[in-house]
Amino acid sequence: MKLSEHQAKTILSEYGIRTPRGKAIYSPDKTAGALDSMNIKKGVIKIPADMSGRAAVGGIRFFHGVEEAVAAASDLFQPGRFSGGVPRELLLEERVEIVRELYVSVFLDRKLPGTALLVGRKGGSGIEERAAAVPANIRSFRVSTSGEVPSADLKSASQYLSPDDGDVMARVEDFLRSLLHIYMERDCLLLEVNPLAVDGEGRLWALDCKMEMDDNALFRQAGLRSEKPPVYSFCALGGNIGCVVNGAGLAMAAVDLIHEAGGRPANFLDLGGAAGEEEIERAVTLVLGSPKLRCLLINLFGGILRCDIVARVLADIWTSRFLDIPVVVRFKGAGAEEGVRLLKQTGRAFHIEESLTGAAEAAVRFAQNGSDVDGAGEDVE
Amino acid sequence: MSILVGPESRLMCQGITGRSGLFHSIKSREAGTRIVGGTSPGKGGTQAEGFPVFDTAAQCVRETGADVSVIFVPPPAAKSAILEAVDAGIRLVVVITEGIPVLDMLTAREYAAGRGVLILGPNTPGLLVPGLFRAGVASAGIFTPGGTGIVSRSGTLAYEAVLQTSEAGVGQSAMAGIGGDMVTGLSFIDIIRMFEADEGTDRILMIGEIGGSGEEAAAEYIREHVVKPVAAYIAGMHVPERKRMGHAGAICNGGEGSARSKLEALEAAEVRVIRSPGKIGETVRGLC
Repeated sequence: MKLSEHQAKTILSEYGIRTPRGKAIYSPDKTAGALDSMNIKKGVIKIPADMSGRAAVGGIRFFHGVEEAVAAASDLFQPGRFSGGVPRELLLEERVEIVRELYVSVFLDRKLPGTALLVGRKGGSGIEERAAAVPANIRSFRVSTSGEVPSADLKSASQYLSPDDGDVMARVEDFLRSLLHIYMERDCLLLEVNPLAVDGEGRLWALDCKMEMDDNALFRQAGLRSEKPPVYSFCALGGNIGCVVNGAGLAMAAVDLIHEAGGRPANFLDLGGAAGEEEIERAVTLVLGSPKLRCLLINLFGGILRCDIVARVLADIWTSRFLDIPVVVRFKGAGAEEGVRLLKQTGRAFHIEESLTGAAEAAVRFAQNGSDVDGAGEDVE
Repeated sequence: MSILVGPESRLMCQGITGRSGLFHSIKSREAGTRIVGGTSPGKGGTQAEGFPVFDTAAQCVRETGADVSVIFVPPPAAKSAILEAVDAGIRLVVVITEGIPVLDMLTAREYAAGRGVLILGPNTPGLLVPGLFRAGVASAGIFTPGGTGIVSRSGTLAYEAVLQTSEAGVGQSAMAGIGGDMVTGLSFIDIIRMFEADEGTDRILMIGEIGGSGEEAAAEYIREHVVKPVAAYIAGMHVPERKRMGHAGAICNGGEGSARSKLEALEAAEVRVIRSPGKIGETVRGLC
């Protein structure tokens, strides 16, 4: 689960790390009030960090005075201003005068596998390019499973980041310890501060922060329990063949399959193993909402999630709503026979297929030729 | 002959009185597995469908001689179940549980490795050797004894591969699910090494997906150390990069981790790359 910049900085400040005063606003008319409540005259206003390359597209604007801030906010919230859509929020922050930018991150390195600490002397945007150009610009250290870095390594990292200033070096060492502590306590997968800025007085500021938390650990992260994502996983892909599948690998395979058969999938959907009827209905409804939908492909290999459970939900949906798009069904595994029986019982034309390839080809055919409500000649069993 | 287990292997189930644990223990027994009992804290001394139940893994091992454990325990308790199995002398722990925190798995891996204990999973359908051993949730009915060693990150896609290879007449020596999580126990390389050494396996099928670099590492290993023919299907060729797709593991990070980078690495290692998931069975049949 990715946290917003504002959420991440709030957590950092709970642990005593210095961050600029800031507030998130959701519309331009909230700008003046937010600035007033923070007593900020000079500052920066930013679009969310996941609207990538925000610096390059003018998504970070400095302002001096309320009028400039409001003008910037109005511009940034403008529909069509950014190709990624209207920002869901803007972050309004005080401006901090800095003299140096460093880079620090703690993250899961899957290659090891283990947690790693990365530090760089030249932080700020463009860090990836600099690291690729001169790999020695970034130093990396192993973090133990209990979240510790050997004292000698911490000293080495701090010294590398601040070789000329003993006070700053000591603060960097404290900062690294705090960051490691937060990473472990909050079950992070990534905790990146770029830049970690040094101001004129040698104090450290986390000017930006990317924090990604392990979804699997949300059950023990009390403050975020209410944000638990749904069991299913959905991603719109823009085509006209909707997909409903169980299991992420099989769901990606269905997307691949449709491409190979010459079609265009409307979405990726993994129902997940533990989805109950309500979640299944919500997921299918999501797929049915795809704007260009011409055909639906249901590919299930029943295991933890049984085919007949999904069939019941489909039967309910089809008998309670008027839906005229053709549906190709391929059921295998647990509940497959019962699932097919339930669908046939509805009297609607569900096109049952035996093989993956057959199912994909049928779906592509329907999407190209349009709806086949009468079931004339296309039912294959 | 098989990988990881043999005719002498004895399976225990941690979480045997839970709905899933009990159901699948019965299924394993029906499939011919020597499953000797299980644990459920507080219910030691009772029986469940003919299986003796113990309070702790240590007691179960002492009384039954179990050497393999399958874990059907919810995520918050999974790490301590793995550690308990390691302490009890189990040599292979098959972790079915989905949703174990990454930091817990890093700790469990380190602990198990320290005692030379193998972990398969987590978030895996488990291990199935046709006619001999079933630890997990895969349906034995789709398997036929044969020479294809299947190693997979995905669950349902592995079942699809099993079904297709059965229908293609090639059968399976074993199916081992390394699981869909970012941090796993045994890796592609570990299982492929075992298949290479297994007399009963004449060809290897890898089922991978976007995210991480396990397939790339396996490709390099195959190039250096594997003589048996290998086929691979990598799911996610056509999904956009940098999207989170289901498995926490399938996160794309730049060049490495993409389906394309995996396919290129595998092709360079002379692995037969399967483009369409509908053609898994026929490709494997055509390997030798």
